[in-house]
Amino acid sequence: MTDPVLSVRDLTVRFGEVAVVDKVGLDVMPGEIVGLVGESGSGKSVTARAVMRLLPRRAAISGSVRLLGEDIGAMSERRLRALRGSVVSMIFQDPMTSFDPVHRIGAQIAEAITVHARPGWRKATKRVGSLLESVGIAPARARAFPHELSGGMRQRAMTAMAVANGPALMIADEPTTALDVTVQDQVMQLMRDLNQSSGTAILLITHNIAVVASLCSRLVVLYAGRVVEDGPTADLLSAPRHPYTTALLRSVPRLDQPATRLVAISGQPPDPANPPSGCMFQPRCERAIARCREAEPPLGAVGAGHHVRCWRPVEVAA
Amino acid sequence: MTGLILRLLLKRLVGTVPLVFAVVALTFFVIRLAPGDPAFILAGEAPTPEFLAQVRAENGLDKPVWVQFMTFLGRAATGDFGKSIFAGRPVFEVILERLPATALLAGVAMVIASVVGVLLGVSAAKRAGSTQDAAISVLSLLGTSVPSFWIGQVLILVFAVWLGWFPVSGMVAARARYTGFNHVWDVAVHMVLPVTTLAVYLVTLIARFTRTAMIEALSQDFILVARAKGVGSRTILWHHAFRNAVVTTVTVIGLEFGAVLAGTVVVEIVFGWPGLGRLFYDAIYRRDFPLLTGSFMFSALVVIAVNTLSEIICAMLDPRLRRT
Amino acid sequence: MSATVAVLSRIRLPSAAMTFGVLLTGVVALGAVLAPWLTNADPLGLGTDILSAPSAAHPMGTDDLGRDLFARVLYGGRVSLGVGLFSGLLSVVFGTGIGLIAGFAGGMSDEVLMRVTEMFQVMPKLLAAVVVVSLVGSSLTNEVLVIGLLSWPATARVIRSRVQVLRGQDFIAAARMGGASPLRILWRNLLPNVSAFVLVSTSLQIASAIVSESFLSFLGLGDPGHPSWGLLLQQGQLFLEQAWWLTTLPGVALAMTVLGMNLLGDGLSGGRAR
Repeated sequence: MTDPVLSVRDLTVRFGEVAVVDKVGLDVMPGEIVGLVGESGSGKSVTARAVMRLLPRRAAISGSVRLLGEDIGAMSERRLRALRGSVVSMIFQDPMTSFDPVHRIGAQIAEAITVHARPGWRKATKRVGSLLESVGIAPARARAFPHELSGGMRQRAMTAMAVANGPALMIADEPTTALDVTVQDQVMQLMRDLNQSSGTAILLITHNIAVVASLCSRLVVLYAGRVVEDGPTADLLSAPRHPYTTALLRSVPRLDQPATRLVAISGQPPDPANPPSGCMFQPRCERAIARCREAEPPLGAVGAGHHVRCWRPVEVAA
Repeated sequence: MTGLILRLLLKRLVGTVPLVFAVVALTFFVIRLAPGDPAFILAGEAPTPEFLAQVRAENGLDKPVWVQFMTFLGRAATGDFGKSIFAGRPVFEVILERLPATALLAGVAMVIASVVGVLLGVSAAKRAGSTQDAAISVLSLLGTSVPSFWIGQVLILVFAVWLGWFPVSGMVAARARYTGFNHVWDVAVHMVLPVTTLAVYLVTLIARFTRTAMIEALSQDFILVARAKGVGSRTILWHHAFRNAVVTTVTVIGLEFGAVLAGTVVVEIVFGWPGLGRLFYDAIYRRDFPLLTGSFMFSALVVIAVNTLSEIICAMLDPRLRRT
Repeated sequence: MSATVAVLSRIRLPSAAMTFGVLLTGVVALGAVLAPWLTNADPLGLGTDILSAPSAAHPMGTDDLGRDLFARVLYGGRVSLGVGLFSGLLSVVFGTGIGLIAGFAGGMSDEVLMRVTEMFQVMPKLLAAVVVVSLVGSSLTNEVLVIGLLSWPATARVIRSRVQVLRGQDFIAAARMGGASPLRILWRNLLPNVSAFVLVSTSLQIASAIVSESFLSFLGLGDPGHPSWGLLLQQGQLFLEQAWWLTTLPGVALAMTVLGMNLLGDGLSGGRAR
């Protein structure tokens, strides 16, 4: 059995007294595309940043995060820096602010390369040129400044920068949220191509179900900083077991099903400083029973590679 | 790059024309602000009738005002800022004589202030919220609140009079006639206190603005992106954050240059430094109005030039400012 | 919301720095106001005790003409603070007016006003003040006018930015639709909402004006009948080596006042003034 590229166990992130992420666990296998889904405030971005240890100093992290078998919590700052950008890389949500406005795009992509290796200037320039080409940007544009490129181009350039060193894992934090719909598609296609050609595993973080449906082989659903369901995408989309996942799917228009009313999930996500008793979703859940208010359910298996955190999972249509 | 500089220079120069015009016009009209006959203003106290008539003729004071203005404008354009009553020589000539001393003082002070100010500002931003940061902020506030001439006086009292480490005043030791390296050392020793005094105000200002700009820059997304790439913290601080914040620093220096110039006047008085500031002061006392207004016009033009220069440098530093 | 409430609601609870600032300024201001009760000496009175160091008889020593320095500092404070206060207020009123008009009117008037503001900002303010005062004479009134009329750009800029932000907000549109004339909108709607900025600006401008006044009188352009701290420092300069008290002590008073006002202004703005 192959080792996972990323292995997260019992990850808990606290800011002061408040636990924003609570005992999250997930695995990403080599070459896999895993989707981390949840609404804003569910803790997905914090989880992503915790994987690369990019959280502010006041965040208290416990649990284990293993990158290619190495525990990142035990690493020195130096080792961590060596891994960032080379073994694991990240693309961020807002392409408008993700590039340094005073340096050229090409220089910034080259920086990703030269920080980890020492190729000559000429070599680096050539590499930048071919990277840009692979994401569909003319190599001559390397001389451009960030404000001279469109949002979509910037996001593609970011992607080029992220794969510059052939990472084993790329974390994409809401890569399409800030983009137009037409451009979103291009970027998604780009990611699929990169994954297929270079075998880079991707942890795709998003609140957009439509995006994960087309790309991810597995999904992890996060709610209030906890994993509430995880499993193969096909299973989760066709037969979700957690009430939250079901509600999430119902709030998104589907082409493969007859048109029904979109149902918004009533209520608000819980305040991490003031969590509800028992299950985190219980105040908004239509299936809640007394037990849900008493104790938080554990993550239990309901099928092959499929887990649910619920006392009363949704029944499967026979 | 040179093409860019030339284009920026041209554009900014065109923009400064109205400013220059305004300064010249203001100087012209300010003399007429004073009660009484402008001829007396320009001729000095108790002039002989012949001299008075000469002044009237030279300045065309019997002609209509707009003709006078045109003459004034034309003369200013050719560098003729009038004639000093006391020195009996063209104002411009007198200014040029004293310029090197002031340029030395102000130039060194600005360079030192910029370097120290930037270092203080960056280190304060790096440790934002710490006691060190708070201490620097308090010192900054103190530095901008206290008038520079008093700082100068206190420094003299402590370091020159009490401790005797530095000379009390002057640019060179009065009786000695040093040459070569001894001369350079002599001037340097005399420069320490005045430069420090002049630099204090600027250092605190630069430190404060640099700190704010650095904190702003460090909170930007691209800093996180750079960290995610594995870039080291020193590089992030200087190559990315400071490189973005430096535009603010340069802008501040440009804007405060007028205050620096005013500072040189008082510093030169306090330290007996033989430069333009002293010239200005003497002109006040001797009621040498041509010299006074001429020097004012000169300094205003220098301020405009420095401002323009700083704008150009900012455009060179930040590509987003280059849209023509 | 009444204007007073609007102003008061924006003042934050005093921080340590702000309290300290109020204390500093307060001490000096009180000293100046209560001068006749704090000292019997005549600030202009010549004496025989020349250049004597601080003692029981003369708490701050005497100058070369035997005049008591303590009295001169206290009475001088009246001049420095007075000129600072009035010229500071003048520049704030002028600057706020220009800022309001430029920010609200926009378009050509804004352009013109901003060009003028820029001209005043580029001109070295203190040197210009020196030239003008030399020419028109150095009376207190002239000083107040000159300093006040050269310092408004800073306030104008701040107010203008604020007005531009407010201009797009709904309550202004509502007032317009209600048929209010521009002047009425400026007075009743905009002014209360820029009041916090005006307050901060006032404090900082007064501090700056006090420094400007001391600069002018240090150069000998102060009103000779009303000696201020700057004049004291100028006179002290001549006896720097012999009588340290003549320069150090008035300077302390000056520094305390300006620092106090700056801390106050900084505190009022929550540190955002700079």
